[in-house]
Amino acid sequence: MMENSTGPAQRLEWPVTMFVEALKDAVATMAGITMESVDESFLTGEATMGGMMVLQGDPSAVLMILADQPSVAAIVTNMTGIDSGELTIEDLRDGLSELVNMVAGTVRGRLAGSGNRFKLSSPLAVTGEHLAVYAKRHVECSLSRFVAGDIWLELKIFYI
Amino acid sequence: MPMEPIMSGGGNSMRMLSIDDSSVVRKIIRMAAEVLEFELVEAEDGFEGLAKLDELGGQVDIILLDWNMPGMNGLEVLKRLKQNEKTKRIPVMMVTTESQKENIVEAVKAGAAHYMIKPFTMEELTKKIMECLGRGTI
Repeated sequence: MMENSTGPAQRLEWPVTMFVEALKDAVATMAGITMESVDESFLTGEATMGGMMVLQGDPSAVLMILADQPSVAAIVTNMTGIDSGELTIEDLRDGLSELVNMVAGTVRGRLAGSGNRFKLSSPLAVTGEHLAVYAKRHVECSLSRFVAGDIWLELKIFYI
Repeated sequence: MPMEPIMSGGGNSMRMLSIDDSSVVRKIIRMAAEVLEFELVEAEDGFEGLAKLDELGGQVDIILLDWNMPGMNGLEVLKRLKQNEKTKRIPVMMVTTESQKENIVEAVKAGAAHYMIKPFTMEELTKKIMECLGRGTI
């Protein structure tokens, strides 16, 4: 497994591996797709969709899953059994939001016993060309990338 | 993942109500209803779910209920269902990402018959639905 970080990663406090495992588990369980971790330098396409949630705790963070539309469509198709041509953009946004929700919910449940608690916002989704997320230089961010054939996902955690 | 219908004869005559604000989760539950050959009624939130139940005179065999929904959350819907003579005996299965123990305890105390934590496979979902109906494993 390769989790990659940008910025001064030594102060990160959230267990990134938990989020990575939760994402892989959610996609495998709900869609039957095995995502493999790849290095940060692995070239992915341009993100056109993003799902996000705010994790309010100590520290607080923004959890994001970024992908291109075909990747999201492939995952939602496998989740629902509905052909990708019949899925609407709302279905794709909703599916990506659900995926973020499952990842955050899974980690919150696993951390509950350790006293490391956080509140979750409602999931949000963004779409658009050339989608990119910019943060202030002091905002630490962990980045993990995953692929399964032509499907790719990025998991980002911004410590706000 | 899609599955073939597994109940023979199509004579279950079961009606399932899905209350979930996620269109994708409702589609997954729709697929489960097809596998089980159940009639499915769908609602996008708690208010719509309670209204549809009222229209049906409470004639629903099982309710699959999301927790986090706009307007009225699933726990509040559950409490209202259990306070209503027409609906209090309908088994309710929470389908949610809320995996913390206190949430599960709270839902069970409020009358939830089963608790399904996302993510889940189609096999797990259909099995839980049948267990919730007292039909054991499929």
